[in-house]
Amino acid sequence: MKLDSVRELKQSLPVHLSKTFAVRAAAGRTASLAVSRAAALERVTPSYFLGVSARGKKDYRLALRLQDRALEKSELVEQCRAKAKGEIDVRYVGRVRAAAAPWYRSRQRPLLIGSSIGFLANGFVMAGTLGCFVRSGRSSALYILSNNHVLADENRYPKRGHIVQPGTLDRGSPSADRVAELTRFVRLDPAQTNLVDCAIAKLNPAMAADLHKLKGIGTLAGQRRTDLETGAVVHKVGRTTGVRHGRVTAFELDGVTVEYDLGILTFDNQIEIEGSGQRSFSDAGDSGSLIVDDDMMASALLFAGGDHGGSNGKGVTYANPIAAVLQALAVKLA
Amino acid sequence: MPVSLERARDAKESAKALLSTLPGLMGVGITKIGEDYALKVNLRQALPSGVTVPERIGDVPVCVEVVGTIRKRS
Repeated sequence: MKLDSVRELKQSLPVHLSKTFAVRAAAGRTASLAVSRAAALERVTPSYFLGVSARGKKDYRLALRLQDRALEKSELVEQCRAKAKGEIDVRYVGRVRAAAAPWYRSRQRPLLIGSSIGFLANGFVMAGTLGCFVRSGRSSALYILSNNHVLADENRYPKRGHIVQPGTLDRGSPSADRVAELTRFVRLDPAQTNLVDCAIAKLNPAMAADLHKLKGIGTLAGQRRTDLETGAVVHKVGRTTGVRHGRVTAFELDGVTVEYDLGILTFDNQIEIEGSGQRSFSDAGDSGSLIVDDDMMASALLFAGGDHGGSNGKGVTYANPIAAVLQALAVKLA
Repeated sequence: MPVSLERARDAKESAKALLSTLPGLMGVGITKIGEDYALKVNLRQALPSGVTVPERIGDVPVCVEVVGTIRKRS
């Protein structure tokens, strides 16, 4: 059937059928071509929706998608088949729902390493990644470790400002999802060379946290004591790309220039990583991810990246050595 | 004898001074080529014609890569 003929038929059917069948509004994509539309506007069951299905080049059929199995052998299908003169593709698709967000973009209690987190911004939503949990001095209090730009809005967020999990980009509630308060950060400085992009936020009382689990990777085993070198295999779990694996491509990188809201910042002594396979190691929203080596030892804190370069052409990621981060904040891994 | 890490570190300091005016320089670091430590010079975009980076600084090999613009990842 020609595309125009199918479209014409599709337009005619709901009106024709609405007298015979009780239908309810349903919208979504068909399994193949074209966008479906509401079968009818009445809120009654059972339901179906119509679209256009491609069988080959320039050969189209009416697509009938059923959301109730009871309709499969119904008069509805037979009448549609008759109207389409057999040129019809009927499938049961069930209820159509929006895809569920992955765990790392969802609310996690106890708090989990790798999940979405962020500050409360005026006028926009944001999210980064919860890197790991640390302690300060001899206190048993727990803190979240992530980037300055994830927890402290590039120096602009007030001390004791609320941190939410998930971040507001992932529908974190500004009131119900408060999990911590910004404690301290290392200032990002556009006028000087930076070494780290990091901050900590003290967990709210009674907030539970799974201190060592990197879901999908393993259990954090401690802090790596030597610097990562070229060729080292590394892993991370982050808010945007989830679990990714990679390889160090360079270390002790100086003069790494990174775009921030503050302007162009320069970093020394950074680690460069490419993703394994045909994937990048990170994407926007993965900032703050803890990077572990093959022995599950904390090795670096992810903070920046680009879309070019790497042997697979998927871009490179930059990270602060974890020793520099922990030293700058005067904290230890929990 | 393979290029040692110490030699690469020394060469990195020379390279930073030598390449400081290179257009689109995005960083100078240390990598490995086979058994040799080497320098990695990152650029935002390909160099204009007529502008080149030395293949070696002293006896330390240099590899050049275009990495584009680097942004914070959130």
